[in-house]
Amino acid sequence: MIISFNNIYATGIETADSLFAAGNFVEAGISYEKYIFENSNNDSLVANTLLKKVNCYKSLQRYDLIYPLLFRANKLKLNDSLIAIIHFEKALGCYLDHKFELAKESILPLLNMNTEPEIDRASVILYSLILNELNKWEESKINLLNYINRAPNISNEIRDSLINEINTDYSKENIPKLKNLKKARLYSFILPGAGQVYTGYAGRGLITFSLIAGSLVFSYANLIRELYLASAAGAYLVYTFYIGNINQLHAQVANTNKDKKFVANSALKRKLSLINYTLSKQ
Amino acid sequence: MRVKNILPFLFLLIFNICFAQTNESTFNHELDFLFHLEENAQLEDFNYYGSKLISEQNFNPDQIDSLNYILGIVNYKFKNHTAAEIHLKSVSDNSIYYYKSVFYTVSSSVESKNIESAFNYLVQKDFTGSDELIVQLQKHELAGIALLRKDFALFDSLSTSFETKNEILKEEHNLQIKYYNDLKKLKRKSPLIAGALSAIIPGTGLCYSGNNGQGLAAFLRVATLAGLSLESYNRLGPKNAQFIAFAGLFSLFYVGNIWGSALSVRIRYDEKSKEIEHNLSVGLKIPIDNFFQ
Repeated sequence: MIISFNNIYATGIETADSLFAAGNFVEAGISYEKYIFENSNNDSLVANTLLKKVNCYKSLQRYDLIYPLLFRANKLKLNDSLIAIIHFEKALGCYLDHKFELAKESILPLLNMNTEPEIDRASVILYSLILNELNKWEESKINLLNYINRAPNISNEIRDSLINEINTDYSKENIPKLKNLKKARLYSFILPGAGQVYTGYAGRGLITFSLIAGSLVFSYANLIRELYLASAAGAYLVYTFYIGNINQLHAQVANTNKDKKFVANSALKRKLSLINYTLSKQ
Repeated sequence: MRVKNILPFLFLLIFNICFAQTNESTFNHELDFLFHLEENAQLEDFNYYGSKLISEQNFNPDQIDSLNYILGIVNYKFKNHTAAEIHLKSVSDNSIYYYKSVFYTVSSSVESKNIESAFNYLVQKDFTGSDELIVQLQKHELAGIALLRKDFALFDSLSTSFETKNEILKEEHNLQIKYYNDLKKLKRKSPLIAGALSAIIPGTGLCYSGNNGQGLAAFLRVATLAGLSLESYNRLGPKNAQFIAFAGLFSLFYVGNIWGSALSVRIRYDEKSKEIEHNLSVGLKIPIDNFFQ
């Protein structure tokens, strides 16, 4: 059944909810907005309705709109539980929109609040997911372990099993060893092409080395034949290839690390969702 | 008996007044909601809801004009020019927003580089009997658009008949004349001369087209390759592979430079012309903003 704006002047949260339930997220969002417009003096009602509109944006996968939308909630006049949900949704929106620094900034105030157990658990898991994306795996692990140690209503057996699981998931084998740009540049500085081999671009490293060696031989051969101009041209080529060999490392290191991070964080995401499931059952 | 006859009319009159008042208050309420959406930067919702209000046809023509005008102006403000044009063009000539809508439609078309559409739309408008300033503004806009279309004959004819006491229009029109002269000067440079100059001394064709830095770089490149070829020829002879390679490279760069110089006249023309076009577009917007905001 498709429910639409048959009467576009109809207001009320029920209309909006029924549009949302029918999967008409755009019009549901507008209906929620109209409800906000008509109840703008009631800060708590506005905040709750904004959260409902967030669900519309999530269903439409418009994660970029969540953070600015929730900025409209007047936090000074809301209770702690509602403020916590707003912080969480803001952080989740930013995380889904791949704005990880902003996500971290949004979730930090939540970690120092006394919140309901469900929000507490969800925010710890989200914070770890954000930290993983920011390459802070050790911090992420500590955050999870701290939570497991203080989490209520968990039997010692499950607690120990979860701690073991987290330690395994964040062990050295499962955490990507990211390539270091400074190291790669140093290798290429000493031996042209070595930085490329280190970052996983062995073919390119070999080509770079051959080009520089060829230019060097060309320059030297012309020098001993007293062809100074040709020798200078060869030297210029050596210089250009040498500088290029070092400069291209920045993009290569970034690419290699991006792939490594994606593989590791995808696996961690799956494992964290299992941990979250186990905790939610307690 | 008389009172009995009057009663139905009286009833209809009261009903109409009540209906009109309800309609007006609903309309104002919807307008307030649209402004609420705009204030909160909910542009997608604003457009969706505004278009829905127009298509529902529950309002009178004046109200529909107001809605189209508001949707057009807000979209113009957010640089959503396609939507702005659609709504502003829909404002009827009975509306108090008509003139403003016409000129902002033109401004929107010009900003979205839809010059032909702006010209065809404005040239059809007949403002005889309207305020003198509106007629002069139309002429000014058409003259500017003529320059953007490189239609110098039309600009000439509009410019000679252009007379105004308004200081802003006077100033903007003088600037249009300056851009007109700049565009004409630009057109005079020949790709053939640029190519010939580069054939005699590499790089000079680029200098002729106005790219001095590139000209110097091209000269150094070709001269170095010429030097390398000459050196290899003198020391190694004409059949040596190194000489053949350098001579081949020299020929390639020499011919490439001639070709590039000829092309650079066109590229330089396009660059300069884009700069002038930008200035012209700004000059078209300034009087509109001044008269209507």
